[in-house]
Amino acid sequence: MTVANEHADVTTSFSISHMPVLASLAMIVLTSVLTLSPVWLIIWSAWTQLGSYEHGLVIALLFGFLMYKRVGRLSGPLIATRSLLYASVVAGAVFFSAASQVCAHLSIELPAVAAIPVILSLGFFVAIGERQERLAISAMPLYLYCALPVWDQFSTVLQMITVSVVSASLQLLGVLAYVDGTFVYLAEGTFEIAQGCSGLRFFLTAAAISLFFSAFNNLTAARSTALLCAMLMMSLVLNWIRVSAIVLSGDLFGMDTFVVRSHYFLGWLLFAVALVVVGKVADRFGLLSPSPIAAPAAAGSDLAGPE
Amino acid sequence: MIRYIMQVAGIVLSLVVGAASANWLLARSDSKPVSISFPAHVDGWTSSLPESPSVTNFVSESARKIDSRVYRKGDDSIQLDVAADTLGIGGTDRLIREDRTNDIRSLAARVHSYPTLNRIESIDGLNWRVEEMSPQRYAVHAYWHELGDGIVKNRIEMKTKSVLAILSADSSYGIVTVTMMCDLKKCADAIAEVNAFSAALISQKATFIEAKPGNDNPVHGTNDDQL
Repeated sequence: MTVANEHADVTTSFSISHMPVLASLAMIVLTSVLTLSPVWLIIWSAWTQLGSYEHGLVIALLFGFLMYKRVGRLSGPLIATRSLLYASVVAGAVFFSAASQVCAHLSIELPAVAAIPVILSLGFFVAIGERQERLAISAMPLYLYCALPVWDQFSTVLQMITVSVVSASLQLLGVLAYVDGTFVYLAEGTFEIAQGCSGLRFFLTAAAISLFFSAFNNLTAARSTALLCAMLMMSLVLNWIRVSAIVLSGDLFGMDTFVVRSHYFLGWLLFAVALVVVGKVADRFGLLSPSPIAAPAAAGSDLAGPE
Repeated sequence: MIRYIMQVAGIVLSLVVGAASANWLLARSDSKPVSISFPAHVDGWTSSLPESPSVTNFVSESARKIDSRVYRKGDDSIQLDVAADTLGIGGTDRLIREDRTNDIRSLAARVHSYPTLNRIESIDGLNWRVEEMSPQRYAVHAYWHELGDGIVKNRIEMKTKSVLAILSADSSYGIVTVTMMCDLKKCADAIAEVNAFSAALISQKATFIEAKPGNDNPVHGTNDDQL
């Protein structure tokens, strides 16, 4: 999938007029990292270990890149937020910051982590100032949910679906296997379709790439939704094929083969190939073209970084 | 411009104030994790309970009540059935039907050495979450597919007043560890309460009866009526 489009002007030159906003955004992120360090350590731990959130760091970088580009389209003077609205945002920031800290202290990780994008959104809301693009930009930290470790319960659902699909596909393929719970018993050995096999990492990565592409290319809502659905479906099917293929390989060639041993990297390799295929198909159906209305606007401003 | 800068400074300050006020409130509540560790039997899945009533016994027994149908079928054969209705949920849900001792032992070892922390993982039919309490020590939370985290914690909290939260309960790998959070001023009360509850549990403890080799009929514990 290519991220370039003919309407986009990707020239990026820095402008001093964007410095206050960029500095404010950076300061807000830095402050949240410093003051809510226990929560960020949980996130960092998830991002730097093999697991369902190992893609998180890449998503965070994509988020930073998107923010940089979005700030580039800001124009006009900095106008401070109205007092009443500002007071509400500050109150919200205090509340969510305190709640996140308390939850982290009590080892209730999900709400502690889930509060981070909300906190950043509130901060960004003030940093952008009274501008037309304020809501769109201040909502962008919600993109980080694709990278945050808040989806473990959903992973269980994906795992159960994967077990069902793999069980059915093995029957179709005529593989003699006994599936008990999450275990697949073969004559050659036993596989466990663990939570790591649920495909959550592919699901979240597909969502993140799709959203990034939609934002970067200014796709319409309809096209963005179609692309998102296609990518999510691709990630699910890909994982089902991956797990089925590994089990089939174990049945045919034994447990000690390259496919079985390298099933983890095989997954990412398949994902990359599938990404290209889906991108080509989506491009063929015109899903990747920006909207006719948005295109002229994009030409000079949307994709340009701070000038 | 000046007003904008002040507003940005204000929002930054609000994050600091929020986190600091939370810390202040937590410090004021005078709570901190209290970790109590006891050596237990390595073969904690099937061996007898530790002798003296203690917090260890409580957790151990609590875990036994969950894994309350453990029985031998021979020297190399152990069946571990898990009954959800010991928690008053109703209905028996057998989650594990293993018949190899080594599998049970490797399960404990795998949980203990599992590299992914704070993730819900499913191993051999049970859901586990491994939490790093310190660089050298991990706590293991076991819970049910259907009910989610906190079953053991809630059960303890329901029965005690001084314990604010049980942070971990690890009964694998030969060490039983309870890490609980309690009000420092009431910690003694909390431990006493847990001990009392532990003693009550032990008085109705399940026994793990060795069946004759080849006998596939499960022999349940003495508290079958509660299962």
